[in-house]
Amino acid sequence: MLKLVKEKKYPVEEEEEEKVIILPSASSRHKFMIDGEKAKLETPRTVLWKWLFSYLKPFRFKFFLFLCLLLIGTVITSAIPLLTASIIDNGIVKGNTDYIIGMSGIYFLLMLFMAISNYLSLFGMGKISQKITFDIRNDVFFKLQTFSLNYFDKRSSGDVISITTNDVTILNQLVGGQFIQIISNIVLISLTVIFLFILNPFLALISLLIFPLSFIIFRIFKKVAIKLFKASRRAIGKVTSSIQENIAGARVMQAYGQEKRASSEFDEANRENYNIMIKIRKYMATIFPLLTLVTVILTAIVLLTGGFAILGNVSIFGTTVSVGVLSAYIAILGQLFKPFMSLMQIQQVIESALAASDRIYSLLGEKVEILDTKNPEPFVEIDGDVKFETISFGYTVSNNKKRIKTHPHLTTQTKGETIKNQKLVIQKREPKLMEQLITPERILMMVKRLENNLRSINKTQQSSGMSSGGSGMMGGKTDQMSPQAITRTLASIFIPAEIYEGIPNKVKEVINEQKKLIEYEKSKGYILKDFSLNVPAGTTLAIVGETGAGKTTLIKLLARFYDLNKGEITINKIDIKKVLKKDLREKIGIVPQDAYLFTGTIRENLLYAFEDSNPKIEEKMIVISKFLGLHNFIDTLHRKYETKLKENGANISIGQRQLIAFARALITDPKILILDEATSSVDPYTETLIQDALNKARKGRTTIIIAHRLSTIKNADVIIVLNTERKGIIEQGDHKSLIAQNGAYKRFLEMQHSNIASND
Amino acid sequence: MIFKYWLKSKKKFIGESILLVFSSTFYIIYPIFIGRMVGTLNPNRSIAANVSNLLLNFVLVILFASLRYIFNRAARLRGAEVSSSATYHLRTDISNAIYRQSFAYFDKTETGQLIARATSDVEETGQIFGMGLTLTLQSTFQLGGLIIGFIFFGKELIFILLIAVGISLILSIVIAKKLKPIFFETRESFGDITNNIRENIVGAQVVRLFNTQSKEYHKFLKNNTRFYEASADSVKYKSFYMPIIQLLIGTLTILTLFVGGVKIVEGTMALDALITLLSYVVALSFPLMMLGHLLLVYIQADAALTRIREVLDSIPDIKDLPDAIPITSLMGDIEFDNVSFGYTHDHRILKDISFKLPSGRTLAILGTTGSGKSTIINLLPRFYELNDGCIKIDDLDIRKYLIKDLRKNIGIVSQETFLFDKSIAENIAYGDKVASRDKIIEAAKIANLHDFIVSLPKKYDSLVGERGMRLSGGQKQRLSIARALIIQPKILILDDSTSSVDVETEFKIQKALAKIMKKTTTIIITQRISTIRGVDYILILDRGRVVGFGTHDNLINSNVLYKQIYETLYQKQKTKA
Repeated sequence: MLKLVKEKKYPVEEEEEEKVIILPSASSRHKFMIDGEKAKLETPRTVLWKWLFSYLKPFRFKFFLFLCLLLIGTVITSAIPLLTASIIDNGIVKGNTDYIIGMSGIYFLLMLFMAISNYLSLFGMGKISQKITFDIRNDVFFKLQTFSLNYFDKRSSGDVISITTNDVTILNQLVGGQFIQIISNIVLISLTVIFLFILNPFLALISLLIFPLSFIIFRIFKKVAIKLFKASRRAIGKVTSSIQENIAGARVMQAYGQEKRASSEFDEANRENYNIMIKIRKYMATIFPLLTLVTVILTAIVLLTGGFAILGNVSIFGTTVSVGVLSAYIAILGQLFKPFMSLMQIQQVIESALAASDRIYSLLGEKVEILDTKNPEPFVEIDGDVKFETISFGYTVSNNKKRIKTHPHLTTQTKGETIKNQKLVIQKREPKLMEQLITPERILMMVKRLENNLRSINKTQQSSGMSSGGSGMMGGKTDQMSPQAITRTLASIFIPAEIYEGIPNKVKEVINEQKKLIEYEKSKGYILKDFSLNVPAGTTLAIVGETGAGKTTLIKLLARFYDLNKGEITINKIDIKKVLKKDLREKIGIVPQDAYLFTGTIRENLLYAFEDSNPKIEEKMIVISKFLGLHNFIDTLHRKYETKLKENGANISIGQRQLIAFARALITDPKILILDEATSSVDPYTETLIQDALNKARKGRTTIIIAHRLSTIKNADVIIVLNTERKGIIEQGDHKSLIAQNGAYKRFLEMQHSNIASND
Repeated sequence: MIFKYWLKSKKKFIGESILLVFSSTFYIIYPIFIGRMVGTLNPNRSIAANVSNLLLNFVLVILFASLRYIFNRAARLRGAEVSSSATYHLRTDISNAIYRQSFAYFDKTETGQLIARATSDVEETGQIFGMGLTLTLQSTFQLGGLIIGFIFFGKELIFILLIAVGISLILSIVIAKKLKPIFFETRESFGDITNNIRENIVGAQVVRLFNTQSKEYHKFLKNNTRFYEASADSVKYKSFYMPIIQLLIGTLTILTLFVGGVKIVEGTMALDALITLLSYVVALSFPLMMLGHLLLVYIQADAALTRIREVLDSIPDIKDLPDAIPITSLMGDIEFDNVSFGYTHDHRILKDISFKLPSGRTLAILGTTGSGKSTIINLLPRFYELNDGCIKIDDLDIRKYLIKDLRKNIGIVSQETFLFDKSIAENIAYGDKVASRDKIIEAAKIANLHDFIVSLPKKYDSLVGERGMRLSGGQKQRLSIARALIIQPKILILDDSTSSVDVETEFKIQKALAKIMKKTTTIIITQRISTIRGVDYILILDRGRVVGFGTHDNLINSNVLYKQIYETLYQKQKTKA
């Protein structure tokens, strides 16, 4: 199986970086075009063709050979009518039996040769195209493995699946059949035209009318068809996504008895598709028979003209017409529109194949966001001393410092938006410049103006003065600045204490409000802001806080699923950016909130981290399962560790799933163990068991626990309380000292206590 | 099965067939006159006779060709409707078939495979449903017509023709037979690829956590290789057909020329007959190739259809009884009577479960992980069929109610929350699509989600993302509570439904729920002591058996196990400053 695959260099990330340079045009914009059969492609056509040919390159000799074979077949096909004409004229009409026999023999040999070469080329090309599809699909899947989680956050799984399956299948059509069909059809048409002229130039001219005629018919058809085909693809897309979601959520649908509604939703999309398909097919019902009709009429006209020519014994352009020539024309004309039509249709195949390649190419060229450095530091002797140093992070905050985003969710920028952003950059820079320019006198002047302004507003009860917008002018011309600009400037500069004292309260208020606003603007989108924390090796940290306070985020950052916007995380004083992700994650064992289990046996899931198993690991697996009280459960199953788990462990309880996920992480013997509400669905007995196990497991490890159950938290060396508004820690200490602080943590406890007490 | 879907529009189907017979007849007739145009040119006759003869034939050719066009078009127009409605019905049927399957079916079938069946497998049949009908009928009629034509114009050649047709038919069948298992393997492996990718994406975090990218890649490689090998295999046979037909047609042409030619030289055959025959031979290539191609397309579609049929034919094991009764109003008395159940035949999860829960009361189920707590509640809305015993609601076996009505009265908040990629409001109102905004807000308030929702830019119209990706675990759970409340169920089931919610929020939710719980029969699975103390009854489950049932006061004195659990929980959750 492996011999089929070209050597694939596994995450050598430098390669990855180079690859990005090779494919510069694949921008992040494409994600908004995934559904798009939009006329314009993301990537220039030439680049796409080049990319497609790069897959063909290993097969170029074979490809050339098969092409030649196909062309031989084509030449024979187009020459056959000449032979027929000759047999009729020289053999049959003249009564020369020997000639008939001889030519028939040649005819047969040619046919045989054609059949063989056609078979070889069809077979060969088909195989090549399957191999290319195979390669592309592997590349896509491989690429998916290199992406950071960010990629999957932004995209629906359906889209990604569709690129890997359907889009690649569309390419197969192009590479396999259509591509060489183009060449062969062009050759066929030109040869046929030449032969028509050789047989009789005048009749050839009449026959050639078939091209403009069918071209016009086809054009009319295409105009409508393209619109319809697009509409149909959209409709099919809707049909597919509706059914995908409803299959995934079938249980919920049934629990709420919503089968009818799902059906009617689906029916709407399905009916739309039906209506469009009928339209398309009705068009085809008119077009295709019409093409045949045109051909027959033209043939009849040729025969009529030819017939007159024979009767009058007229020679046109020096060639006479014979019965044989006419019958050759019958044969040729009957076939001529076929290659022509398939050429016309090929364009459609090419368009959809290019659209598919565009999506695949963009995926392959997508920048891998979290890269390893080129010269990673060794990461072996680690005891798990974790430090967060003034880190800031938000999922929607861009890491690109040059660009300040107005809309964090908007990755695509239209021209207008880019301009807007540039303006923003200027505005943001403005205060800095001002700081140097603004003297105390100017500050006082501004305060004065603002004070006057405020007073006048109060008097007239109108805000017209405040509503005139515009960014502030640079530097000195304070009197031309709008009140907002003044407020903004004052809020963003450092005002010496002695001046501040002298500012009237009303103005102070306004300035402070503005300050808050600026602070808010700056921290918008951030989950954690200027967060610092030290977790010494071997200690246990517990994280408490409301939903959305960034508990899970903190862990994800430690495992480098996302890169920080600011600051750094170090383990044993080594920045985690400077080590290989692989090495880093080997040291970290996370039991995530909803741990995903794969289809396969329990054993396979427990040993998921290992390439292949050996007796030593198997032994460890059982030890750890016993350690967590998992073994007893597994033992009750008929096939024990070989019991097959369904997709995401659907056939065992959630508590059991959590235990398996826990064991799966412990088997790798991580230096840093992280439990993200890992036992929320486990019963109290098992939890006690896990607690004991955890107390043992904690030894020699740095442990980070996220939990709602305070019993789990109490024993931690350090507890931190995270808060959404603060975007960081509001309280920190061990259980006792936090209780003594009488703050949020205590409130938490009291809540639970009163919760218990309230029922007494 | 294909015919069944074509016959969905019977009238059009029959109309098309009749029209195609006519169109094929004309298709056979006009080559006669084409042949005559050339073949009857007789230098010995007068020019005028020749010219009028030529013109007559010309007009006849145009006439019959036009007639053929008119009939063919009319036939295809009907075909368009027949084929489009076939695909439409197939899609409807498979989606309905999937939607009505029972939970047990979803347990054993991989989601990715199901999706592949409902989408790419249906696409695969598009060709046969699309042009298949018109082309099959047309090719068959044309072939028949051509054979008749041959009988008229070249009796001597009929054997050659029949042999050629015979060979091509036998060949098609042989190739089709070879290809059938190969195509099936292609579809199967493609389904596996789809499922493989899906799992890889859904489990992306775990893959990265354990650095198993290369392991995953090799798994994919295995599936992809299977697909490649099957596809390459199919190419081998597929490529065979066209060249062979070309060879056959070629040979037929030569033989016609040869035999006809010799006969003309001998004077036993007219030239126009030969030319007509020659154009018949040219015309023959179309139906022959088409029929062979159709056979290929057919078996390719058949592989997909077999997989589709598997879904269509699997009869859901949970259905309404013929005399099932609708529910107008429900009290909510629940009784389990010696209930036994196992997901598989050889392994019972629940054994002889019996208890009674009067309407309006609350029951808490306690037990170790895997003791069958979630299973009990899965039985109540009839997600699974019992092996033994029966469950009664209001003293009537739940099998006697209409399933739809039964489920409408039961609100379940399960451990795992599946949300649809719609807005928050739509998700909350999932079970009651006509719910007013006020009602939605009220439900969200009880689930303590309202404040969060209004903090979002688009409030209740914010999209939750695929599977609720944009929400945290706790938010998803709370949304799921609101979703269950909106249908105003008579029976409310909470399966550890606040496990991911922080203590403070949980407390608020509990308070808000207390009011509702007074009016509904409630079953709670929980590990929180506060909840246990507030319920009317407690059921203790151990390895699928009931080991204790009663009120807290009862149990604490009489049941050792309960006492133990309670004390453990109390110790763990009580806080000592």
